Amino acid sequence: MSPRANCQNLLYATLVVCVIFFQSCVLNLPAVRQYSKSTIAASHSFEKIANDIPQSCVRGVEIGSKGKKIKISNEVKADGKVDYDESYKSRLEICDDLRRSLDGILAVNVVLMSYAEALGKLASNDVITFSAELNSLKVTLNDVKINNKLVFDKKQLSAVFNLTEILSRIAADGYRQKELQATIAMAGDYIGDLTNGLIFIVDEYKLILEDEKNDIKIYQNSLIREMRKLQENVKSSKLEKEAIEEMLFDTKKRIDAINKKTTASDGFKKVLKNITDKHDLLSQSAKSKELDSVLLLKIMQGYVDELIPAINDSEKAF
Amino acid sequence: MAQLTPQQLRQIKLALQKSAQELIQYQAEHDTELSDKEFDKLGDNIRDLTDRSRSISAQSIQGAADEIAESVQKIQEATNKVNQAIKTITNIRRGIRIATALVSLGTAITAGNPGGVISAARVVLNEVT
Repeated sequence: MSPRANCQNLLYATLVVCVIFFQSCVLNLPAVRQYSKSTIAASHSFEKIANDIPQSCVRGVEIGSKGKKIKISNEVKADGKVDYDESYKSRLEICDDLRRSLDGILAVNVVLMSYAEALGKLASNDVITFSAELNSLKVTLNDVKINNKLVFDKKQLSAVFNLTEILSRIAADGYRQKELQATIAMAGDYIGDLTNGLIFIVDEYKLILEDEKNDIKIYQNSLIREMRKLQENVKSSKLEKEAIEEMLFDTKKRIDAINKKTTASDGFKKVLKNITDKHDLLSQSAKSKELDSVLLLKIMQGYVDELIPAINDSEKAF
Repeated sequence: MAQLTPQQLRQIKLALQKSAQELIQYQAEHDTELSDKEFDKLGDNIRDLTDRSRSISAQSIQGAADEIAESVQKIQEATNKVNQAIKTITNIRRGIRIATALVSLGTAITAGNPGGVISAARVVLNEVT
């Protein structure tokens, strides 16, 4: 191949890539994929926090009711009914209200997760690769015969399909860059509201854990009172006192567990803030009128490097 | 009367929790002075405050989701746009598969291969439906 022909091919390849990417800002696709991965993981964690809200309520009601020695036996009577104290039942109904109240915010979480999944899928390289399908078509065309003679020259077919695969990938890349850019720019104005909504719920969770702590403390106070009475009563046994001590120890463990959850929630809020910031950066990049020239040149160079040998092979084959 | 915002409900919850915590501390500090009846009554008051605090949470959680409903709708629209783009690219892939299936069918017909025609026709049908 002459140097003049090589230069010409380089020019064609560069022009093709330029035309396809001309109207796009170039998004940092690894950053989009990273945002997708982080957000999906955060959404799963949020679901666990939200599900613990009614459970914290039930735990609190059960232990708080022990402080009054409310009958919370679930012994089944002859008529099949279970005997619960009325005040205990009405406290548990509030836990059901809490469970129902979460439907809306859990749906918000699903929307956020679906958005992140969709972005991740479109930003993945699998979505713009057609090699398997094109190879299959090439192999099928290779076998086409008329009067027992092969219709297509193998070398020419290979050269054409090589070029087609690269061009279709460039075209699909240009298309998906444009779509991602438009979508992320649009979503940028609203994502903050969703993550702030989730952060609000995490803060609410911390407060609900405080309610559970208050119920534990009601029980602790009643245990301490009982222990005092046992100590004042010379007839009380060592076993009785040890039983109270064990129950007190259990309440302290429960409070420790709540404190750990509270600390973990603070950490999770930072994660949510971080992924909001990541999306803000992507959104600013998507809205920016200036092309990210370094990134664009890198992508274009990559495609041009692929196109040149494919164009050369085509020329040789024909 | 206008509904309270989640932020306003939170302030009420914090006030209820503060009252509950003050009563818990009072109950602990005055244990020896309180009769059993007074002690139990205090316990009931604390439970009542805690129950109200939880009810407030249920309202503010609901309110938080309602407040952002419009933004959620916009993000759903953005997701639909992305899924449409994925579908468009997937349709290109499907188009190539249909072309492959049609070439196979044509080859089988030209070769006069009935078995080949039937299996190739089945592949075409699978791709287009």
